[in-house]
Amino acid sequence: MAETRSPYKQAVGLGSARQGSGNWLAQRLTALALIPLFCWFVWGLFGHLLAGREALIGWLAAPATGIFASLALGVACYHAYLGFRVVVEDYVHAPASRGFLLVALRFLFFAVAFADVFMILRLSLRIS
Amino acid sequence: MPQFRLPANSRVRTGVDHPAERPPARPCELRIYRYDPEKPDVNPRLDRYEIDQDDCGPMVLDALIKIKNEMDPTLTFRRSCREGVCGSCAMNIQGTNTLACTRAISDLGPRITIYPLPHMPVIKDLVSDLGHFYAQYASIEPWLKTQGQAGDRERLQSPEDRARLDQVYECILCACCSTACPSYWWNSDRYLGPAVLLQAYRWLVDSRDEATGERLDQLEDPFRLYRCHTILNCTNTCPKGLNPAAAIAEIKRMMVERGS
Repeated sequence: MAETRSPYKQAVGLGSARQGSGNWLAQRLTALALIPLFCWFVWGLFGHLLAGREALIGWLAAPATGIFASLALGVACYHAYLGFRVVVEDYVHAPASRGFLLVALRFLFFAVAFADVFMILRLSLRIS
Repeated sequence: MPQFRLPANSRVRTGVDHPAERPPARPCELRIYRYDPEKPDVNPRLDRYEIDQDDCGPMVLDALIKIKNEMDPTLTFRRSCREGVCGSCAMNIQGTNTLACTRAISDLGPRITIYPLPHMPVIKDLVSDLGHFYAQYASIEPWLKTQGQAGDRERLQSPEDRARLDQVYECILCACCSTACPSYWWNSDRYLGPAVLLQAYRWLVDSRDEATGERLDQLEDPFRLYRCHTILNCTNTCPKGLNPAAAIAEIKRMMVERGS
């Protein structure tokens, strides 16, 4: 059937969502935060892995490591969630699929972040 | 989901060969996209035209006019000013969106391929349907907005404020940038695209306009503004040498500035 809505009506659509700046800023800030956090985390992880399993667990169980490792993994999950969300918004156009994927991504990355922090907390509590 | 192949009836086939009448001294071969809306079941095709550069003006538009006048009157394209001011002859030449009237044949080599602006509905041959693009332009309300009555003289602007419009006001709305933008290809129904955002910025930085907040409100949207992923095709392709990507970055900066 031919399109009956005027071009202006189509261009205006549902109007402005009046949001989006927060996510855009969060993408940049989490990317910046991840540079030092991830360098430190990967350096520490591999450094202690070479020294053996006990050394690695001891390093992860230290309070300062626990705080910063939780932060690194939490920020990484949030950054990845924002990135995947953009990919879905860009390329998935069917409303039902898009809605499902956006909700699924939220649950997935929340679950991954929760699991990361839980494992670090578990290590810290078991050692101490 | 994304569509990776053109629909079957949009795939471009080999077209008709139009050799030069006499052996050309300086030959140039143009392969031009042809689509006839009166035959919707016939696939678009690439017709080949051979011309003599010694018997033609220097620009691609000159070659198109020569072909239309002397070889194939059915070839359809838009043109008006022939000096890079009106934006009518925007098309995809040798893989880059540009104006046929300002693109020299000698810069393109002996074989030139010409398509209409990418990812737009084609009306006929090299003529794209820009109705949605113009409607998006209208949606940003591209005129001076002020409160109260107009005074009895012109609205003053300092030289510094006027300078902020340079490299912005020159946009001729040819749509080369928007139709070169992958984000616009995938989401042109909601993303405004670089040309319209550059125009929106033109009014945001105008010191005489009093609707800056209202304009930012209308732009603050995950699709209207934030589909720009700084790909920079827009800046690369602009035939007027403008920088829409920088204008979009400035709009994003203004959004953050007013929220912090």
